[in-house]
Amino acid sequence: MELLNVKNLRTTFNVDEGRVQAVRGVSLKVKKGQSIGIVGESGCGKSVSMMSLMRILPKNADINAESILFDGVELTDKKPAYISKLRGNKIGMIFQDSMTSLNPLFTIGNQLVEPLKIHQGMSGSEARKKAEEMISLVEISNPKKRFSQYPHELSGGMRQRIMIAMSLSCNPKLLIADEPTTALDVTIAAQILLLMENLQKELGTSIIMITHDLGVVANMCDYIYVMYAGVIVEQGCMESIFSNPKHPYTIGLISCLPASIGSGKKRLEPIMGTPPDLIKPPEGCPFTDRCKRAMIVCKAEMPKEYDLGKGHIVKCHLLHPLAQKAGKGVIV
Amino acid sequence: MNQDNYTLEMFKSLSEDEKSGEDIVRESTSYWKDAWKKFKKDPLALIGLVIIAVLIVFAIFGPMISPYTYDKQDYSVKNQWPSSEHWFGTDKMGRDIFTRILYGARISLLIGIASAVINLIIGVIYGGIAGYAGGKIDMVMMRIVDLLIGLPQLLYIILLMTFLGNNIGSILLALCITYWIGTARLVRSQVLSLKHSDYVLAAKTMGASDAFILFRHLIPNSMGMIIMTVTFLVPQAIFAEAFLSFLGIGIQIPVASWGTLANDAIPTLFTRPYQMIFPALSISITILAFNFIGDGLRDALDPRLRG
Amino acid sequence: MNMLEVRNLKMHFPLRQGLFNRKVIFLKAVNDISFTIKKGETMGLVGESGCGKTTTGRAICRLYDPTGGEIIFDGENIAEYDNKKLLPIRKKMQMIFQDPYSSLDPRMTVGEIIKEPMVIQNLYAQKDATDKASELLSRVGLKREHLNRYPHEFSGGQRQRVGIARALAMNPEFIICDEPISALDVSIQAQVVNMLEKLSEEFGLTYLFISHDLSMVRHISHKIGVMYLGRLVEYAETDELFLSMLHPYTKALISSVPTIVNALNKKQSHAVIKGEVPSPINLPEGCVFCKRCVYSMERCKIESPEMKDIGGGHFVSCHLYS
Repeated sequence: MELLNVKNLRTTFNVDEGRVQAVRGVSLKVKKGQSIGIVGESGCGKSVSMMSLMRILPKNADINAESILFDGVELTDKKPAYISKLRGNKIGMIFQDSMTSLNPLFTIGNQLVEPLKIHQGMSGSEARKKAEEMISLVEISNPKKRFSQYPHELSGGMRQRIMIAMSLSCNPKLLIADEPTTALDVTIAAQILLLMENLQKELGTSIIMITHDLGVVANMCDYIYVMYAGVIVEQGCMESIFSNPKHPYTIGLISCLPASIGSGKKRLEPIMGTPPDLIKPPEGCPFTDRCKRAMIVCKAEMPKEYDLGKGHIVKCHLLHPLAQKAGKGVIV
Repeated sequence: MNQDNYTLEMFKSLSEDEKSGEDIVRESTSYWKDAWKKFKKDPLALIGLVIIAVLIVFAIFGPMISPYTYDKQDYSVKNQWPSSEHWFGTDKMGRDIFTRILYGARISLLIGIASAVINLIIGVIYGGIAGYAGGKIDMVMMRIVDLLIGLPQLLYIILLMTFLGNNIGSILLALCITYWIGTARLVRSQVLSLKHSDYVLAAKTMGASDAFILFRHLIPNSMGMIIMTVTFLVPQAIFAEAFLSFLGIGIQIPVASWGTLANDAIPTLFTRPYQMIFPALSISITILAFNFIGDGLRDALDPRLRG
Repeated sequence: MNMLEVRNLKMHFPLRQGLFNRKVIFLKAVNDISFTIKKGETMGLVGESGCGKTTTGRAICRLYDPTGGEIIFDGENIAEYDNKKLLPIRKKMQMIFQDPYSSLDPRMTVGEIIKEPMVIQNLYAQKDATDKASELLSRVGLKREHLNRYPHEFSGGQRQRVGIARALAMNPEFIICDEPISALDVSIQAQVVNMLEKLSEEFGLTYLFISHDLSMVRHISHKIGVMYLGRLVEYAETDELFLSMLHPYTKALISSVPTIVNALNKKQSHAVIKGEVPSPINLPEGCVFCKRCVYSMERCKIESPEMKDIGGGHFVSCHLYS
């Protein structure tokens, strides 16, 4: 059963220097209870895609999509007011920087109670009780004391837990987590990821995890989308992506990691060059300039999607039958 | 192009030269070029710039072209309304007001710019040292500043003028006693926030002296702020001088500043209002123009926007 | 031959508290650590926020005045040197910073940035300086025409390379890398790390590589020190450390990192330790890790363990081994 189905999302920003095409035709699906990951490096458009869905981008953003179906309802023709009712209620969001996501002037309790009162129409005491339950749910001790504390009195890890509590308080069907552990220490991040996993099992929430950390996405997500320069270049279930990657960017990304070469002092295999300028994105495949296996057709044309079965889809010319003929295809 | 129309040729490898690699696509822009681009977009700022440019041209060349001098008295034409011979009319001693306004422009601009520059230098050095040194030195320097601010400005300006006489030099001195304080505070806060930047630490690891860091890193990075402040100092000084002269304690006749002209025009305010209007307008428009420029600069130099 | 020998280094920062700021308590950022780095070696220093690794790097670089201990750099104890004595030393020891956006002066061109150390130390004549700067740029994979560009025109990875070129300008022997890749994308991290390794081989450079990224530190370092709340809890050759992680914190740290390998093998990276990283102000008596340690004993609460040599260059600070 599909909870979210996005078809052909395009987002462009109007800036002084021109139009930045941040998202160029992204389509994705999330099933009920599923956990999907969107990986990519900075500027690839992963955060912007999600913020486009939620309509929380600045005014100079142009958002277009063929269709955005959430829980059976088409969102593209709905007014902004409808979407804002979904936020915090049916769709929760967690961001990277918990210090700036929480209002420093209000207590934790105050901020937890707010969505409950607004979206669920609870009374003050009902909301307070639920808020304290949520604080315990995210494994913070002494909920009554925490309720009246301010964000700066808590550590980074605790604030992130509060963010999770806030996002889950209205029991949303979908949770969008944008780099939830990037700013946290390793041992704290491990705790948060474990917490998210457990909560997901308990509450059946679907999760979209946005991150650049391949290790995190491998351990947390069932299905993964790999983004580069505003497009999805490869997608598949976790095993397909990590044991059988096909797109040169995915392969390159995995080879960059020191863990992939094991011990033994071999050199890492970096991806040379830098991502393209999205004001003038290239006409063909955006990865051409950095791809070791680039062909003439790559510079000229954007590849179509090739379905390799079991949900593994790759957008790369190397899978074209002519590529096989030219001896270039078949990526090891 | 239809995927089925591809040819085998297209699947040959792309050579390294055909890829872009490390090139920087956009034109080189420095901080100032960028700022100028933004400044140009602000219509009020441009108007201000034009007004000041015109004013400066008039101030320098005007008096040479004008057939009259600022002090030639001709009682036969006294108190005349503006005409084709005397564009702004004449005053009670028959002097051409337009010419006097031009000379007045010289004085106002001179005092405004000179005092702004002097205050700038004092303020930057004082604020820079206080901010960089921090600790006790900073504390002492700032308490001195607090004391100076506490004194009633007008009072000691008047005292100074009384002792030193009413000339341009003494006005400049009077304006320099406290007008640098705003700049100093601003530079100090800039330096305070910048001195912990990584590039300052990097300079320290290379063995840079404190003076080197202050003058090569901290002050240049505060330049935007500084220039903007200076642009506001000029109208402040012009106004102060005009005000003092208007009260009769500034420049004395026959040297004409706009304030003096306004002062002269008080007795004839209702009978010959033009004698007051022209100097007053000159003061207002000039100050407004500088303020427009200052606002435009503030927006153009906003550090949040670049890099 | 030792490039650097740190003995009982302490960095205590006084903080004022209470009415009228009278009461002084100490933030013991670095609390009695000792280690050595041989010439040509790369030593990694890992730990989480607040552990003191960055402060250690800055103390060694003499950006701070150490509260105690010795810093023996190339045979000389520079811990108490004044700025004048430090000037010639600075040529040999340089630093690369974490944030590529704030480590380059935005008002200076790349050329001026790279030439700055040469200017400060009066190394070359004007013309030679430009040639040298151009050569350094090409060594880090950038082009001569980039000399006249400003930092904001480059990407994060390129800026970091400019920072490296600047650090190399004085032909140093020792470079402290303070989280040099943390702010960069994964694919760019690999570029920078490879470059650092290449430069080390070419010029015999010694590195202190400070980072919280365990896998990268494992890849680049010959030996690794693990820090927690200002103490060096374990310190060994890289392979030895990952083979036999002795200190409970080291174990926890390593097993907390989610890896692709674990995911494919369906191994859960369980968080072994609970609790938050405490503050380095008002440290408890006894072992700094005691409160979060699953193996803690009575002794741990009272007595802080000494650094013990287990053999083979492997040192641990833990009562389990004393």
